[in-house]
Amino acid sequence: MIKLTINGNEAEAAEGQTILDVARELSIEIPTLCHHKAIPPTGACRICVVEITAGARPGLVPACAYPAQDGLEIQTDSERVRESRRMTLQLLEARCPEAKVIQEMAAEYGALDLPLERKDEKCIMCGLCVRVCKEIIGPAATCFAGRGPEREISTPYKLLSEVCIGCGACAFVCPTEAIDPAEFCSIALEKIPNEFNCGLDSRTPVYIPFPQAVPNKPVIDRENCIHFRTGGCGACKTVCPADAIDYDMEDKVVEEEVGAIVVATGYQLMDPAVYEEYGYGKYPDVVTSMEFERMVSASGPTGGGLHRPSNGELPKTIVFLQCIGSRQETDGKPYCSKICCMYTAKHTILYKHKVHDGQAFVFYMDVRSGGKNYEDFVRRVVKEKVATYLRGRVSKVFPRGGKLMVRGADTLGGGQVEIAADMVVLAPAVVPSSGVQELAQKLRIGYDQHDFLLEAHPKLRPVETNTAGVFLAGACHSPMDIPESVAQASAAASKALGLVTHERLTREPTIAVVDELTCNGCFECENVCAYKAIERKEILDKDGVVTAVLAHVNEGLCQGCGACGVTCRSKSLEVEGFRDLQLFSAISAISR
Amino acid sequence: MSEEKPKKDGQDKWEPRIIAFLCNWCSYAGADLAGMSRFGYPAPIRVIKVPCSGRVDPLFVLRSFEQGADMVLVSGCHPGDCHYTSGNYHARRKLLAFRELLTFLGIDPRRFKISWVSAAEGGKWSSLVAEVTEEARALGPYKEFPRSVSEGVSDEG
Ligand SMILES: Cc1cc2nc3c(=O)[nH]c(=O)nc-3n(C[C@H](O)[C@H](O)[C@H](O)COP(=O)(O)OP(=O)(O)OC[C@H]3O[C@@H](n4cnc5c(N)ncnc54)[C@H](O)[C@@H]3O)c2cc1C
Ligand code: SF4
Ligand code: FES
Ligand code: FES
Repeated sequence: MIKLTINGNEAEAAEGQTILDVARELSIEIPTLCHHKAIPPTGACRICVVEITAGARPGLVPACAYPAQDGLEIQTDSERVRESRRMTLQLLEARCPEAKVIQEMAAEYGALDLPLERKDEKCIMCGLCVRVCKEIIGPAATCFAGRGPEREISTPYKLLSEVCIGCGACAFVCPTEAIDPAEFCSIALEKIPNEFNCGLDSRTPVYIPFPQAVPNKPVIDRENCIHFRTGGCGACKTVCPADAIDYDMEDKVVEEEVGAIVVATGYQLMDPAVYEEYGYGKYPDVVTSMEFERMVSASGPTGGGLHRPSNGELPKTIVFLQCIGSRQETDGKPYCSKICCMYTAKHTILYKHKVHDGQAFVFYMDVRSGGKNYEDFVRRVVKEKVATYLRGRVSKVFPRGGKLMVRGADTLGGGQVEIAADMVVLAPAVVPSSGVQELAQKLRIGYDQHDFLLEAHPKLRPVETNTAGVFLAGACHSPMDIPESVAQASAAASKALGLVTHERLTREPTIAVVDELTCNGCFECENVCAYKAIERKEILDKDGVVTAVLAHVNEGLCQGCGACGVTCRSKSLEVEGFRDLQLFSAISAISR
Repeated sequence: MSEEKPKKDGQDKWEPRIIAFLCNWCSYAGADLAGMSRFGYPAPIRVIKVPCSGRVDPLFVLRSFEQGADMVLVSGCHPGDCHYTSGNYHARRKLLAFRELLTFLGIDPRRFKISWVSAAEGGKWSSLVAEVTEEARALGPYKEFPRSVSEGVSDEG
C-alpha cells in the first residue's frame, strides 16, 4: 500500500492511482481541464499542477498524470501552485475569452489582467476530443489541423467526416463547450429524448431512468449505446469504480411463484394532438399538463425555469384548458378524468411562483373539487386572483404576432373571449397505461370499455378482482389522485397480506369438484375455465406408473362459475351447491 | 304426463308457467333490484338462480319443458360483463346452437328465450318479464312436448 500526504492529510493509494485520484477521494479540490476519467491523462493543460515538497524531486507536477508514490508530500494550494495556475489561466484567458469555465477560473485566480489582445476562441487545445474519439470511441474522426498559431481541432483535411458516427462524445468531454459536432459530422446527431421529462431534454445512452428510481441504478440503452452499436467506447466500464458494467449481461426471464399479485400499472395522458383546434404538436408553446409539470419542477429539464418553448421568454400570459378529451361523449372519453381540475389549480399557483406579474386563465366545464379540503384550495386560487376562471370551451388556438390567440366562450360572463397567450397548457384525458389489455388477459382479470381494470364489486370489494389473489391499486382502476391511489394501494397490500399470511386459505365452498371415477381426461374443461383452475393430475398405480391423467380443480383458483360442468361430456365435474341433481330438483319443485 | 297440470292462477284464468334461469351476478341481482325499486312484473315467472349463465345446461331447458313449463328464459350478464369474464360467451354460443336444435327435437323455439340483464337494469327486467309473459300467453299452453324427448330427460340424474 502506498502512503502519502496531501496538504498534511495522510492518505493511502492503490497502485496506478494518480495524485488527482487520491486528492479527490479526500475531497480535496484540484481544478482540471484536459482530464477526463475515462481517458488516459496526458497532462496537457497544466491547470492541475500541485507542488511536491518531499519524497521525490521537489517541484510542480500535473496531478492528473503524476502517479501516487510512497512517501510523497504534496501541497495542492501553495503559493507556487497558485502562481503557476494563474499564469496558465492568463494565457488561456487571452486565447479563449469566450469560454465560460476559463473566465470563471481566471477570475478565481486573479488572472484577468494580462495586457494582451484577446482572441475570440473557446478551444484551449487540450486535445480531449481528439483522444476520446480515437482512443475511446474509435473512429478518429477529429484531429489537430494546422501548425503553430493556426493549429485547430478539425477533421482530416477539414472535410465533413465520413467516419464520424455522430456519438457526440467530443462535445461531451470538451471542458469549454467549444465543439459543435455538426460542423464536421456528416450524419445528423440525434439527441436521445429524455422520456421522464416528456422529451423536453435529452439523456445519455447510459442513464438512471429518473430521480428516485427504484433501484436507483443506471441502465444501458442498447439501441443508442456506442459500445453496442460499434463495439468501441466502453467509457462507462472504464470509469465505474465498482466495476459493475457488464456488457455481456442479457435480459432474463425471471419466474417466481407468488401467492398474490397487485396490479398498479397506472395511467397515461391521451395524445391531445387528435384535437387539431388546440394546435398541440403544431405550436411549440402549446404543452400538456405533464410537460408543464416537468418544466416547473426543480429537478426538471429547465431546473424549474419556466420559459416559452418557442423563444425562451418568460410567459407573461398563460391559459390552461381543462377537460381536453374528458367528458366528451362524441370524440373523446365520456368520463371525468378527476385529477385535472385539482392539478390545474395547483399549476396556476406554481405559475404565479415563477412569474409573479403573470396572468393565468383557466377554461373549465365544471370545477370538480370533491375531496378533503379540495374546494378550499380551488376557492383560494379564485379568491386570491391567482387565476381567472372562465367557464366555457375553447374553439380554437392560433398564432398571431408571436402570441397564441385562444378563442373561446365565456358562458358565465357571456360572449366570446379572445386571449393573447404566451403559453397554452392542455389537461388531456387520463387513460390506462398502454398494454393493459394484454396484461389483463394474462392475469385473467376484467376491464371495462375504456380498459380500466374491473374490481370484483364496486362497493364491497373495490381492490379485489374476480380472479382470486389479484388486486388493484391506483389509476389502473380508474382516474384517481395520489391520496386515493395510496389508500387503494394500502388496501390492496393488506388484502394480499391477509391472503398469504394464513396457514389455510378460506374460499367460497361452491367450487367445482371432479368425479375421478368417471373423468376420462379429455380436458375439454380446460378450454372453458376462465381461471386456469383445471390442472392435470396423474393417477399412479402401486408401482408408481402413470395410468391416467385426470382433471383436477385448483381450489384456490376456481370461482365456481360452472362452465366446466356443462362442457364435460361424462358429467364428471360439478359445482358444489349447483350440482345437476340439485338443479333438476329445483326445476321439478318450482314446476309444481 | 302433463295433461292435468294445474296451470290455473288462482281463479279460472289460465296463466303460463315460465321458468327463468338467472345468473347470480347480473340478472338475478337485476331482478332483485326490480323488486327493491318497486317495479312490478307479472307473477307467472319462476326463477332459478345459477352461478352464471354458463352453468345452464341445455338439459335444464328440456327438463323444464318436460316438467310443464310453457316458456323457458335464460338470462345473464351482458356480453363482456360476465362476472366470470367469459361464461356468458359460452352460454350464448351453446344456447343459440341449442335453439336451432329445438326444431329438430320438435319443440317450438319461440318458447325458449335468451336475454342479458345487468344488475343495474331492474327496469329492463320488469319489462322483459312483461314481454315474455305476453308472448307466452299468446302462444297458449304448451302441450306438445315430444314423448321421445321426455323419455330422454325424465330420469332424475
Ligand atoms: C400533470 C399532472 C399533475 C398531477 N399532480 C398531482 C398532485 O399534485 N397531487 C396528486 O395527488 N395527484 C396528482 N396527479 C395524479 C397522479 O399522477 C396520479 O394520481 C398517480 O400518479 C397515480 O399513481 P399510480 O401509481 O396509480 O400510477 P402511475 O403513477 O401511472 O404509476 C404506474 C407505474 O406502472 C408502470 N407500468 C405501467 N404498465 C406496466 C407494466 N405492464 N409492467 C410494469 N410496470 C408498468 C408505469 O411505468 C408507472 O411507473 C397529477 C397528474 C398529472 C397528469
Ligand atoms: S377533473 Fe375537471 S378537468 Fe378533469 S375531466 Fe373532470 S371536470 Fe374535466
Ligand atoms: S488537467 Fe491535468 S494537465 Fe490538464
Ligand atoms: S355471471 Fe352473469 S353471465 Fe356469467
